[in-house]
Amino acid sequence: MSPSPTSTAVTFFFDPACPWTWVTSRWLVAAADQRDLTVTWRPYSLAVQNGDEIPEQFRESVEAGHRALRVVAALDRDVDNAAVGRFYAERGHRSFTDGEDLPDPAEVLVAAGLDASHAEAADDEALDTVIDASMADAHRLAGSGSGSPILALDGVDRAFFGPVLTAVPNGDGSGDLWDHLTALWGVAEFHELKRDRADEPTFPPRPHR
Amino acid sequence: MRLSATVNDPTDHDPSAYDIEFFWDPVCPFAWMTSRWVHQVAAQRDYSVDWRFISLRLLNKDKDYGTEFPDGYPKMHGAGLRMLRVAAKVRADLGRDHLGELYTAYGRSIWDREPTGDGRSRSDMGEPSHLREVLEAVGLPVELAAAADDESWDAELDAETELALSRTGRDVGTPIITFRPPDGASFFGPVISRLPDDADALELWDAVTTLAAFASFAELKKSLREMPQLRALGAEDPVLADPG
Repeated sequence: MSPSPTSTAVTFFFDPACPWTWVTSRWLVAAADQRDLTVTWRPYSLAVQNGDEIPEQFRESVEAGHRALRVVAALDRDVDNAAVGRFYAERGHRSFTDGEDLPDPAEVLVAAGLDASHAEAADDEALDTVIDASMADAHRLAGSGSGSPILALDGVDRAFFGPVLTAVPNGDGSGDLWDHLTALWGVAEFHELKRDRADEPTFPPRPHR
Repeated sequence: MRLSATVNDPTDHDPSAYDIEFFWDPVCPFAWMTSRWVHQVAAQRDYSVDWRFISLRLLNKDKDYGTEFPDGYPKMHGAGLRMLRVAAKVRADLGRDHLGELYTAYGRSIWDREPTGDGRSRSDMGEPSHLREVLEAVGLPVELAAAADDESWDAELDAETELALSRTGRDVGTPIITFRPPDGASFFGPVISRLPDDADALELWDAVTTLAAFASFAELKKSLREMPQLRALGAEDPVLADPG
């Protein structure tokens, strides 16, 4: 029997504008808590990946997502990756829980306990090379036809697209789902499992602080 | 999930008499590979399998084959439909427990062969010569092959295709599996390119069925993949059919 991977270091490639990615990210945060995982947050830009194919009604939010990823790149370089996690959590709750259309990067930073000056990075096109490099890593692990989110496990050379979830599982469910996912990672022959998704995911509430 | 619960089962039987329902079209190489794994699991766990029908031709009946599919697909999907009409006739006349053996014989006759020029299929797929060869291989009357021309089976095949899709939503491929029918978890896949060993086969089954039992689970995919390792697709170390 091939051993299931035992690494607890996870890399999550995300586009902050994608609602499905957001649900998966909140599952991962809950699973990380229940299974003592460490998560590294890395950029994946649907604006770059899909370019002109993005439907008009999503274009503004996807472009705002790309600008937020420049802030992500700056935070990772100038603060640390945990700051990226805090920035994404705050932006996601504003965007998806509160329904704020295009969260202002400076306001998100301040609410996440970070310095508002990092918001200047949103206009810094030089940071696009960092986003491109991150996407190249994601595509090397998951194929260039994938999208957001991509979930990689340190030391395993094949990453997953997904898991796409319509909601975050209740209670201990997130850790349980992680365990079954890990088992599938251990089976090299496995490629895909799918059901059609509902029209819209259910977003989790903000955690109590 | 946006799933319809109003699709009726087209056949009169007790679904709960089986542990697994497996919806297949004989021309899908992914369904074939997954079906060999289901045999592997069923043998070890003593699960009973109801081998049911999903027709790619009927699933895509509203599509324009000229613009929406590669060359060769109309012929291949049409051949699948002809084979499924024969299978429906076998089920009606002789009973559903013949279908596991029939599917295995179809699959061997298509996938355990030297590659042909187009790399996909035998040239007489779904034609009388092929159908009679398969029926003979499983010891069934070769006259049943005539059902391939009988479009009156299509209503049942169409209804069974809709039944499968009502359980997973439409944006999926084949095979579709239901564990503990009719109300247990359903899913498309798992897509596998090779057969795991016996122990991994069970590990995969447990992980897949547990994941599918999460109501909120929708999709998990490794995009880097290979075609199923079958002889007819040019594999050097092909998976061969176990007589199921």
